[in-house]
Amino acid sequence: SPQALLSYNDQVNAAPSTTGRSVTLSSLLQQVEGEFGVSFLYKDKIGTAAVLTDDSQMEGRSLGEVLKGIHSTNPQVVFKRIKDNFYTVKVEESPAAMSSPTLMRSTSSRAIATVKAAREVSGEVRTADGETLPGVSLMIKGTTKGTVTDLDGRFSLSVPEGPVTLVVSFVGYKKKEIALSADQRQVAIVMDNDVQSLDEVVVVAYGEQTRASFTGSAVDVNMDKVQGAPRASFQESLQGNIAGVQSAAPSGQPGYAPNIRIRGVGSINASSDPLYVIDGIPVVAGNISQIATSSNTIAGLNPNDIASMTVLKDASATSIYGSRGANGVILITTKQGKSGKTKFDVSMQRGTSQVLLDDRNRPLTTPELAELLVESRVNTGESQQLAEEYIYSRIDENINTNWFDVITRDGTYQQYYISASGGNEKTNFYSSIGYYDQQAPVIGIDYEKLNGKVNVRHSATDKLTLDLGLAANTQLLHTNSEAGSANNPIRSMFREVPWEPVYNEDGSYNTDILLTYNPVGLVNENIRETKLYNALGNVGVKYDILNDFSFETKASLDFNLADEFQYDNPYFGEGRNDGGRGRAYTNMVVNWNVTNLLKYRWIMDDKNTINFTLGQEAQKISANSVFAYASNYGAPGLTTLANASVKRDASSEKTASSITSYFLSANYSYTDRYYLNVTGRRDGSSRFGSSVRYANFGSVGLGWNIHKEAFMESSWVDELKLRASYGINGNQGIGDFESRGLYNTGNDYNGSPGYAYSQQSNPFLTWEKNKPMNIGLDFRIVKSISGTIEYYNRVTSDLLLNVPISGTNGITSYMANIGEMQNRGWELSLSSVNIDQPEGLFWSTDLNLTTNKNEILQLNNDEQIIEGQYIRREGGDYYSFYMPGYAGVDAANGDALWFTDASETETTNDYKLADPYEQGSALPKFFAGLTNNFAYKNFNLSFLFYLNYGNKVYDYWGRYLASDGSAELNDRGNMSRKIYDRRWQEPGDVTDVPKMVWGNTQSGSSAQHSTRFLYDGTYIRLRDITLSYNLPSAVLSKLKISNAKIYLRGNNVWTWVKDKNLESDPEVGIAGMTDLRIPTSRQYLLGIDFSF
Amino acid sequence: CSESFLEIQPEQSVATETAVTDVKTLQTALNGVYSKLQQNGYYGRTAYVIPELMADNLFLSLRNTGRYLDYNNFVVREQDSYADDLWNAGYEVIINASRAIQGGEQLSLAGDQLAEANQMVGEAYALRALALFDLTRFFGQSYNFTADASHPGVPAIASIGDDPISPARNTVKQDYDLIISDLSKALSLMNKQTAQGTFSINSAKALLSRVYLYTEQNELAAQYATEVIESGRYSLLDAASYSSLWADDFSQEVLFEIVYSVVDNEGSNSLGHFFALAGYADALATESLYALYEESDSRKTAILRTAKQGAESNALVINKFPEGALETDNIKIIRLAELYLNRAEAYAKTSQEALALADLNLLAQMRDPQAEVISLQGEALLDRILEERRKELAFEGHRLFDLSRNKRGVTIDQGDAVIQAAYPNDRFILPIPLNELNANPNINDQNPGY
Repeated sequence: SPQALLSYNDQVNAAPSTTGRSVTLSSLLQQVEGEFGVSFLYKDKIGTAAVLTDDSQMEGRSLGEVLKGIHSTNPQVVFKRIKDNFYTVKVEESPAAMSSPTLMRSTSSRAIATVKAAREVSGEVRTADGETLPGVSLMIKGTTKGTVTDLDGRFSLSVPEGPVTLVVSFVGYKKKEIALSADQRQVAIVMDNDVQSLDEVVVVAYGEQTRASFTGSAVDVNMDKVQGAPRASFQESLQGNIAGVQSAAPSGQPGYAPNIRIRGVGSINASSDPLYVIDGIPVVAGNISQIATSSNTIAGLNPNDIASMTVLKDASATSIYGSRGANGVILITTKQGKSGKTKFDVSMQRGTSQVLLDDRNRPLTTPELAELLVESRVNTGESQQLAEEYIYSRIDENINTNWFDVITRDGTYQQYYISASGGNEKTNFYSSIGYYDQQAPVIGIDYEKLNGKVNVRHSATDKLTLDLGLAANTQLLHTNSEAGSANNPIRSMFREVPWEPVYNEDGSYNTDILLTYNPVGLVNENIRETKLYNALGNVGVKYDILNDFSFETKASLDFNLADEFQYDNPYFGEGRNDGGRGRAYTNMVVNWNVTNLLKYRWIMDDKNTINFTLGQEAQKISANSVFAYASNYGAPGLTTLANASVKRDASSEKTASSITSYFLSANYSYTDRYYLNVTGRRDGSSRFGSSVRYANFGSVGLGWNIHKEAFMESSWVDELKLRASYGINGNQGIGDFESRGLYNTGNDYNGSPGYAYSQQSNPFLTWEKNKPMNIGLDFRIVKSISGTIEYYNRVTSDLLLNVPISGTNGITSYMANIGEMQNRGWELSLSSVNIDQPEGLFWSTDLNLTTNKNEILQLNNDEQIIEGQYIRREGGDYYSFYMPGYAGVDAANGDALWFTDASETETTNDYKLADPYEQGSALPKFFAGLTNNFAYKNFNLSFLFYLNYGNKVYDYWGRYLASDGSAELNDRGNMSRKIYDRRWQEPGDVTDVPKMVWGNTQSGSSAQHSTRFLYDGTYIRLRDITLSYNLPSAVLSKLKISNAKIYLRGNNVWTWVKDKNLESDPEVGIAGMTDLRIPTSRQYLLGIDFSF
Repeated sequence: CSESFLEIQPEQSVATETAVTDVKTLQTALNGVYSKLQQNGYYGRTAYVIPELMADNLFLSLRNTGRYLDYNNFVVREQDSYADDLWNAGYEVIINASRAIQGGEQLSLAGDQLAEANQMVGEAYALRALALFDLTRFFGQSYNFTADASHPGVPAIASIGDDPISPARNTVKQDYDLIISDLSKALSLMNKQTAQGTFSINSAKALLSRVYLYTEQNELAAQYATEVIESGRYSLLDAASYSSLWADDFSQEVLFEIVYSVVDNEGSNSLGHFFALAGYADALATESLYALYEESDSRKTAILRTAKQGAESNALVINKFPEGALETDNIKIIRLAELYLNRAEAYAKTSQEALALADLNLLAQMRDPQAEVISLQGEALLDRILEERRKELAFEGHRLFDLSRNKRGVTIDQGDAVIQAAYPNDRFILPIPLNELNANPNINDQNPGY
């Protein structure tokens, strides 16, 4: 009704047309609302302001022109588009408008007067993310009385005596009924997002857009799934939650950098990592550390500070990033404050974790391993008695060390976060600090993180907006060496024999094992510390030159520092021969970026609109590292290099790269049915030779909102949109100077400097090109089921390939643009609300599924590249395993057998005669995530299953655990439980584990790579399960907090592995290779989140 | 942005074309060549270990790190990484030497600077010859395997162009011709008679003596050995001071050694670490070798009988690298003793038995004053010379070649077990690395037996 404090078109009917030349603003706006089906939000006091109009104002004009017309006749009236068809209206302070307060006051007093018999209920409406919601309609059930929330999401409404029910509704959110008790005067209402809808605004490259108008492929990440996860980085939470994104953990080290692949592996030798853009800044991501085998600069970002995260997948979405968009882009926007009362959010979590290892993979005990070794001697012809004497006289049977228990422990976890946000109409702010601490379930491994964030936005004038963002964080990691390193405790855990103790009888470390690398001693006496510091600052200015014409500029600095120290004690391990060693490293990576944007919205008529973005960007990344190394320490406990007498090495290095770019994007829309997007970008990179330094990138995208067509009216299809795009983007993810012929310094001799030939020049080395094609269909049917089906086909050409050349060149490879690779597949996302009873049970399901087929289309002269256990050949996929096929065991004599060749028709017991051949791929045929969410009253249960199907996993170090007696009494000769359980013992035994032979050379040699150690990597994992309880509003109001949630969360709670022979966790990183890394762990945590 | 924004120069590297521009940069490039010899894939370990392990001087302890296990077991395959590394390291030396030669020869210099540059270019020739010689003997059968040495050797690089190359294999004859011509060129350019840690006229002559012994040009082998011995710049150490040969750098007996300092840190991959009890003590001396030394033989002190923890209670640990796990022992490439042995063998093979016996007895007496005077003849004399050579040069990377070039079978002593490998044998040489076969279309045939 016109008497409402605020006007909103849900509440008002179209008013009769105005003929007078001076009308109230509210009646004019009602007229526009009726004509164009748009909504305006404004404060009541301005509704009564007098504005000028004329009857012709709306005839044959588009909405934009009408609004422009109103503004030009009444300059004090300013429109601002919030989302599609939704505008706020402000009236600038002017003498004319000052007359209204009197009028308003009288309105208020009248309102109070009419409801004196009722009570006043006030409250606040927020989204599930805690954002306040303006313009929400609240009606008293069974009446026509109601109100809408103000700009701060607050409302106040007089209601009749006794219990009442409020019906709360807002576009894009689920309608809610709130029961108020007879004496309740305060209420906090949380609105839940409606099923994904085309009305949503998505953050896209250099701006935002409605989903309806977007022609590309982009996925908004549900931040619920990222925030509150006990994982150090937001990237780890992508697994299972987004179609088309593969996130694989190469290590259980907290703070590691996960392998993120968007639509497959895009390159062979250049980077396959996506570009990360935080608040418009392309940031430095990944490992800048020397000591930590996996660290991650952007793990420093607190997931709780993220407002939205969008994954851009196809050409239409990514080509505007030109040379850096080839592997997809992950856009992150951090939170901004909302004007209104200052709001505090607090989150606290504590938890515990354990290493995941099935009982079938526990290390062998002393009697078990001794039994194997005795048997191995008997199998060479020795008598049982002599064999036992031989073995038992050399080992201490009384010692039975469980190295698994020695190396692992119960991990602990805690995380705290507090933020404050708020502001007024001119200025708003968001600020937070967070602390994260995890002791991994492996001794010596931990991770700590502290971060702070401030965002300030200030509207200096109506046209000028200033943005300031500053984030700083520090990460502290204690890590271990990986793979075959003697410093790797995981290697010791599986390989050290059980009859060796951790400590000698006198309590000193037993250093007569592992070449003195006692793993417990190393953890206690050595230092292996990585400190990462990151500061990300940005300043932005936006100036609205005209209503539809704006200029934005943004400058940012991304500063990263790794400060690391390694100390090896003088008594055992690496430093034992030279009195202890100390090594200090610093690596500073500074990335600055400047972006200038001109945006113009050209509304041609009421059907045709074009949005233009013209941009310019420059980026420079420079890195500067220093290293110092000294040995011979004097005093225990003094570990800095100043305490070492022999200064052994010192060096510093510098490198840099730069990019400069120009780009243009145009989005054309015809009514709200047809959309065309065209982008073009020109990039120059310092990494390539001057003649081929520049390249052009671009894309074309089409969108068709089919459900808006007349023929779709009154069907059960609510939304249906077809999208297609094609384009070209690039990859320059190689070293800074790969195109040059170089001599490298550092080849010193006898105290004099030396340099040596290190790189073949290739002056024509240029961008790797990536051409993605995408067809997608977005739909929503029967109100509650929505989803997207997409087909993609991306072809990478001019691969930046390390072409192997004859070693007679003095180097063994050089980089050239050779070859082509393709990734194609389907992506399916489905969301369904299965049950939605108001105030009853709610159940929703989200499913996503991705298939990917990687195929190498062309390589250098058809030559295959054999790299370790992989073969790269035309027609094959990038991670095809290549090794001899294991054919089991000769039941007659216990010999290991291998197939002679790929035909698998003949077997041999001589490994030398077994030819390697292709054995399947490390890449899954598909992977999927299934999330179910149940809510009942204040309880919420959600859980995510992740399925990974059809890949192979190679246990690279399995050869050492399957030594079949060849390791004899080597103290690192423990074997796996599978060997013990299944070895061949007598003629006729049908098994796949050969007989034990002392000093075995037939099998058990570490050189014998074969499918004996290749497993099916299919698994299903209950990756995330959360049970939460929202405190009821009665309790909340007593506690004076607006919402509070207590929850119990579990990670990796349950796993089903298809291949029961697999001796490790199936999650091993993108390359499908175990590497004696920190195993995956299971975590449980208890958390509480609340706001006030 | 201006074009200069995209012009960024590397800070740790120089462009290939500006690598050698004067005497100073020639020296820097030459140092790079020497540094390539230091790699553990070459003289830093592999070139010393493989010819001894694949014979009767060394075997792997039962508690070993797995390094060179396939050599110990005589089951090397074409994927073998040590063969791959040795191949690549050899060619790194050849290419860097060739680039230094090309750069050095283009400088226009005069006077002292010219002499200095000539010495350096000469050293580069000698280094190239050394690397080609090593590649030829590791990857090709010995010179006398066919009557005219027409069996396959390794590719040789004469000059460097702009584009990557894929050369075919030479015959062993062609390789040796190039080795000899490079060494002759080196002799004509160099002016230093001796040097510490680098090539000199005398060390190039000494290498030439060894090369001629391999090609059975025995007169020339003897002639160059004589020139070095009679230069008077080196002398054999007597039994009393024998240990200083290994303890000291630049002993009077050593013509060319590769310098390792604390900064050339190969860490646990160094030769010293491989042998030392404080390191891995992966390879041990065989009992058959140890038994050859009389108690009074000073060379017996180069082997220590001791217990290896958790393994052999009675291990023979190599003591030729006393710095051991400190990894700072210089690695000897050519010693004067070898020249006496070269000459003795050459004399014996050219029926100058008296001269041969003189050299043999001289060396034996120096090492062991109580040694009986040797007076053998014919095949027995040659056998005795080879035995003395085994005793003198044990663990220094000679044994397999000394046997195969004399067409003898090899006893591969594995400690417990023994493999008798008869001559001729396909597996006395290494496989052409699989990576090279894959990358180089002009090398089609693997060495037989692989």
